Formats: sequence, C-alpha cells, structure tokens
Amino acid sequence: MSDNARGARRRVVITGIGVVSALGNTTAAFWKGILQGRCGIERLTLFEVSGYRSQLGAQVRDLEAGRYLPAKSLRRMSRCDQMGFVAAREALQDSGISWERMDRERFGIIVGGGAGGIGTAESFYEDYYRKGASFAHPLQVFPTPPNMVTDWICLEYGLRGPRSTVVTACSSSATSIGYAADLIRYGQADFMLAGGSDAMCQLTFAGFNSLRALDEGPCRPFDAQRKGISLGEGAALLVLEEAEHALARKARIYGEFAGYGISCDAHHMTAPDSKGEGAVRAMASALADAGLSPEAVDYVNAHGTGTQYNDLVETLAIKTVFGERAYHLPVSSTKSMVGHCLGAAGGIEAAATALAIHYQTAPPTIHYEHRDPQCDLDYVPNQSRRQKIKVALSNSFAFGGNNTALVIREFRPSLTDKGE
Amino acid sequence: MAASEPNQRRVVITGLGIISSLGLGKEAFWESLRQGRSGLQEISHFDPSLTGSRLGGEVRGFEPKDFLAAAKVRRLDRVSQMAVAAARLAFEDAHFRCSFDGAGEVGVILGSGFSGLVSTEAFFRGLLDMGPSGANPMLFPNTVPNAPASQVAIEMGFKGPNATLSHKEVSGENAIVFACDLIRHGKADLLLGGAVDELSQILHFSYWKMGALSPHRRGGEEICCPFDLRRNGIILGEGAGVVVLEELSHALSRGASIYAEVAGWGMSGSPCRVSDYEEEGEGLARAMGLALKAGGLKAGEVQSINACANSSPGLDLMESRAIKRIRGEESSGIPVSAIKSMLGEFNSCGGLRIVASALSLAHQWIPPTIHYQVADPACDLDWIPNVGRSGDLENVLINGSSNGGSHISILLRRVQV
Repeated sequence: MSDNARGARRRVVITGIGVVSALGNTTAAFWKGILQGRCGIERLTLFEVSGYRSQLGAQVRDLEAGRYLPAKSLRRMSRCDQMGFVAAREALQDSGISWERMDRERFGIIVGGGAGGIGTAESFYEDYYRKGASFAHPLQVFPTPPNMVTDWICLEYGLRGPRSTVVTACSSSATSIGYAADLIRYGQADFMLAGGSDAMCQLTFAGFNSLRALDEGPCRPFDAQRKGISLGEGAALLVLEEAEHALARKARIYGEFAGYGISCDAHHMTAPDSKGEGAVRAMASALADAGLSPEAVDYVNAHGTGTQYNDLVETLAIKTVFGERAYHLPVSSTKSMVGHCLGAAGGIEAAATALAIHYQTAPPTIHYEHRDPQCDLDYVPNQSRRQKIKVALSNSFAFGGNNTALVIREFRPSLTDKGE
Repeated sequence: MAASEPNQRRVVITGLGIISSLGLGKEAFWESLRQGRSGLQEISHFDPSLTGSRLGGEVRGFEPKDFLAAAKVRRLDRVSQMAVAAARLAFEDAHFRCSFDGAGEVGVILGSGFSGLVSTEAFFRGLLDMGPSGANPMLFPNTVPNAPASQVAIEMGFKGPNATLSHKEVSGENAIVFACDLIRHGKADLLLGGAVDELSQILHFSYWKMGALSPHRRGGEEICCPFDLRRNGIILGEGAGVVVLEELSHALSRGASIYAEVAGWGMSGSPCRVSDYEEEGEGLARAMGLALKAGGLKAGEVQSINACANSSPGLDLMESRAIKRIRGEESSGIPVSAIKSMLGEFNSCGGLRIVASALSLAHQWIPPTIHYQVADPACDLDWIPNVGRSGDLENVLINGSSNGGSHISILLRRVQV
C-alpha cells in the first residue's frame, strides 16, 4: 500500500480494555498478575479431569456474572457468553464513553470465538445419548451458536452497527480485531468492540489430550523441557475508536491499532509448516499494513503455546522477519500465565500488548528454566521488564494453519511521525 | 465505502461453485431454480422420527471421490468435503489452470453455522462412552469450526488470508462481505468466498426442540412457503456455495468472464431478543440502504431482490416491512423472490443465494418463490409466485437477516467496465 492510500484511511485507537482470565476478572487484576509473573494454571474443577494426561488448566473463577445480569438472561447464556459479557462491560466502562450522545448505528462489534457454547451443550448431548432424546433440554443447546455472545452484548448496549463473529480457532479474536479496525478505518463505523471469548470444555480438553498436546505441568513456552500446552479460558474485549473522535473527547488512549496480516499455511490441520512461512507472511503483511519496518518493533507477544513444534517454528519465523534484530527483541508468551485460551487467546494477548505499550513494560514468560539451543531469543524469562515499547506485534496461529498478526503502537497524534 | 471514490478497487465474481439439494454444479442448480423445483424431500440421511418434522433439503448424489483423493475422503468429514467440492467447482468455473502460479496469494473466507457438528458429536460420543481414551485424535481436527476453510486451503494450496465466520443465518453473507472488504482494501486480489453447512440428526433435533421447525409450534402442514399466510416455521437444508471474488483489473488482465460486480454491501444490527427476528424491519432496511449507497444506487433503481424470507412468520413479515421502508409507495413494483422456498433454511444459505443471484444476472431471469398459494395481507408485495420470469436486469439486492438482529445486504450488478 502506498503512503497516500495509508494516509487516506482513518486511524484507530484503543480506548477501553476488559479482561476476564485465570488471573482475575478485571483488566487491573490481569495486568497485576502479569507484572507479578503469577501463574493462573491450577487443577481444573469445571469437569472431571481424572484419566487425562493433565489435570491442569487456567480456569476463570468467581465470575459472578449474575451481578450484572438478570436470572432469566443468565439461564440462557453459556459460560462463554457470560465471560464475554463481563469483559465487554468492563471495556465500555473503561473507555469512558458517554452513551447519551452516542450514535449506536456507528457502534459495531466483532467477537472471536472457539468452542463457544459447546461446553453448555455438552450436557444436552449427554442427556440425549444417555437418558434419551426427550430428556435433552432445549435451554442447554440454545447457546451453542458462536455468535450468541456477540448478540447478547448488542442487546444489552443497543449496538446497531456492523456485527460479526469470527471462528478461526486460535486466531479468531486477533482476526476479529483486524476486521473491526478496518471497519473504522474505512468509514463503516466509528466505534467497535472487538476481541474474543472462549470457555473451557470437555470437547477441547479431550481433543488436545488425544493429540498428546497437553503438558502434565503448567506449560513452559520456549523452555527446552516444554511438553505441550495448558488450556485456559477467558475473554477480552477492546474498545476501538476512530482517533479524531477519541482525541476530541480527551479519551485515555492505550495505543493505536496500526495494522494486521492474515495468512494460511495450507499445509496441515494440526501442525505448522516447518519453516514457519505462513507465520512470516502474517507478520510481514501486518507490518506492511502498518507502514512500519521490522526495525521499529520493540516487543513481540508470541503465540508461544509451549509445544515443541510451535515454539520452534515461531522462533524461526521471528528470526526470518527480524533478522539480527530478533536476538535483541523481547519475545514473551503470556500463555505461561493464563494458559491457551483458544478463541479468546488473540484478544487477551492484544490486551496484554496494548497494556505493555501503555505501561512500558514487557510481560514475562514464566516457568522458563532451561535454555533450548534452538529457541535462543530473549523470552523475558520469569520477570516482567520495564522498557521502551513504541511498537509491538502480537502473534496468533491456529489449527488449520491460520495465522494472524497484529501491530499496536504508541499513539502520536501527528500523522507524519513514523515511530522509528 | 461510497461509490464516489474514483480510485476505489472494485470486486467482481468470476466463478461459481455449488453443492446443493437443487443439484451439483451451477448448471443443475440453475435448471432447478428455473423450473421452481423444491429440494425439500423426506429426510433420508438419518431418522427424523425423534421430531414431528420429516422434510429436509439434503444434498443427494454427492460423491466426494469426484473431488478428493481416496485418502482425503476418509480424513475429511462431509462438511469439509462439500466445501472443497464447491471451491474446486468455483475455481474451475473461473477458468484458472491447475498449475496456476498465483495460488500462494489466494485466500479463502467461508461462513458456517455449525461446521463439523457431526464430527463434534461423534468425537463427544466416544468420550462419553469410553472416557478420555475414547476421544479419537483423528476426529478432533474436524471439530474446529474453521476446518472446512482450512481444508480448502490445504487441498488447493491457497496461502492467502483465511478466515471462518459464524453468525447464524447471515454466516454466508458475512463471509462474502468480509472477503469483499479484504479485496477492496488491497489485502488480496483473489479470494474464494462462500459458506457451507451440513444437516444432521442432532441439528434437526435441536431446531425442533427450540420450536423453530415447521410445523412444530403452530400446527398445519409441514411446508416451506415464504410470505404465504400458511407459513409456520422453517425446514432445514444444507449445502455449499462458493464464489470466486476478484479485483476487477486482475480479472480483466487475465480475460476472465465476469458474472457480476459486488457493487456495494452494508451491515447493521438491531438489538432484539437473541432468539427472535427483528420486528419492524428498521435494521434490515438500514443494511439495504447502506448497500445501495455504497453501490451508488437509489432505492427506486433496484430491479430485483433475493429475499432472506424463510417461511417463519416473523422474518418474512419483517423483510416485507423492510422493503417497504426503503421503497415506500413503489414497493409493489419490485420483484422479490425467496429461493429458500426451494433450498430450505440453513446458516450458510447466503453462500448459495449469492450464486443464484449471479446466475440470475447472467441469464436475465428471476427465480420464483414456490409453494405460494395463500396471500398474507401483511406481506403484499410481488413475490414472483411459483413461476419465475425473465427481466431486463441490471442489478439484484441480496438480503440477509438472522435472529438476534444481524443484517447484511449485498448489491450485485452487471459489470459496466
């Protein structure tokens, strides 16, 4: 894209953040946990976990969505819907927007999801098989479609703008943020809620277990002894806002959404291609969309799942994109603290990335003990680090070879400032 | 988004692929639409007797081996097989050679309401029966909702942008407009856009339990008759519809034949109960208005509407109201056809309906709304009852609306280069 074309589009800033995760159910708790390098991965209590390779997961606790929702709605919402709702509520409050003068036709929402309400539907299936079809209760299958969380939020806040739900597995919510930002950039909306929500369920737990992808202990991204992922759950929604509008109302701006890139490995459903070409193309096109060179990047929030293969391939891909600079670039995996939240992962990591810029602090990769000679970058081991972060990249790679990268940068009102 | 931007990149449709209850491939599909033939028959793929509903729009005669190597036929579930088949048909229809060297740039954007629900059910059944050791690692990859789009990419070597959208009855429309956005904004030159869904026993049973199927709650005959006074719920269908979306100069430079331009599109929401359709038609009318504005058209210039009406009492009335909102007094002058009368309703139906509208422009002929007998005084427009008609068509507006209040309209027009 030419500088002219880039200049013609509107700029998008992040003015609100809401996070629900195993580190707590507010953005403040999430960031505090990250600064402390606290691990949210514990024994799961959501369902019976004996017989699995791992009994651990990063479970959301004490959600208490009933504080904000009438019982009638609560009964019809899945765990995923409730987490998304709580995160959206916080993001909107955090943004400080005034609803009185809001043109809700210009306020849209795109949420990324994964298994969504399947966790709730599991009891429907179970009754259907074990007790017979007539025992299966419709309220339990009602929340299955992944768009339910999106629609519940629209209903509560009266949003009338563009609406969509992305289900591209572990890259869903990164893609939803890119799509939502484009709708603002090109004039289809002025505000968007974007991010994702995904709940832990037996289906995904058993699935990753069957693929032998779960680590028995808490996951150890980039560590030489890493054995797999720890599943997590949660939600993160960002308020994206057209920059002039945010400036005019003197909003607190966490950072600017600068660009995104999407690619596909077209290689294998469950394994990345060995050279990480798809990941390279996603990162490179995100930087191109942002009009930034790799030299401008100060921090990478890695996909960093903790599997042998992902962390190796991602390291390779980062070296390909950044060259020599890769060795001086902090790269960390917040999954070491909040687990792999699948459909919500990209949203939670975008929130972490925006907060990293806002607080000028790189989140750590915890449980890092043993250096892997092939994973030889600076993974910000075990302790968060205060440092200059003007531009950051967040990676999300998914089953099916779907790759999305986001670029978020410190906001400077002047258009001519390139941030280098 | 306004049409007044002179240097805006334009998106055209250059290939059509379809696997449907009305036939496999665009010729069979179009012939059925022309004849006003219903694809809704007694369900044969599973036993529907758990419910009081027995009709479905099933894809019949589909042989995955015609589109996939034997080893792949075993690995991909039926919903992914249908997606790959429709994608191959679309790409062939666009006359790309097999050795097309730009494959690495092509992307795939699909919509699906429930993707691999059948695989999910089978996987979960194994888990319930035998515990963790009964969870089959071969099935698990098919349970992720983006499996069909990823399998298309893997089969065809397409490494460009890839995404899957799932938003109930507008999943297909949503995929098409996201793909068009990506092309218009310069993120791709060539994308497959479309949607796929499979009809299964658990889905059929769940819809019945929720009270959505004809004739469950309201009694009467089991029938799909959009806009007809007798309408009493939906009949489920299935299938895959995929179109090749291409940036105009890209298509022209390779001498492609062009079915239509995607001239404008609009998305809107109207907050309403998550299980109900919007009532007043304000939101859908707004989506239609946005699509027309983006395409530089006045409401009076729309020549045909491909309706989203699905034979449920609420949606059809709401769409009728929405059309009147934008057309006012002139509403009765515009032909509106609801081809869900032939295909049934399913969350990816938009992927098949865009194929129908592209063919409608190519053949200058408008398909009918079948099973239309008893007029509803509240829905009193020209529904092209039972017999299609030829017309001098420059454009067609495709409507999509889902319960929960999401609306998407897409304007197709013949190409004026």
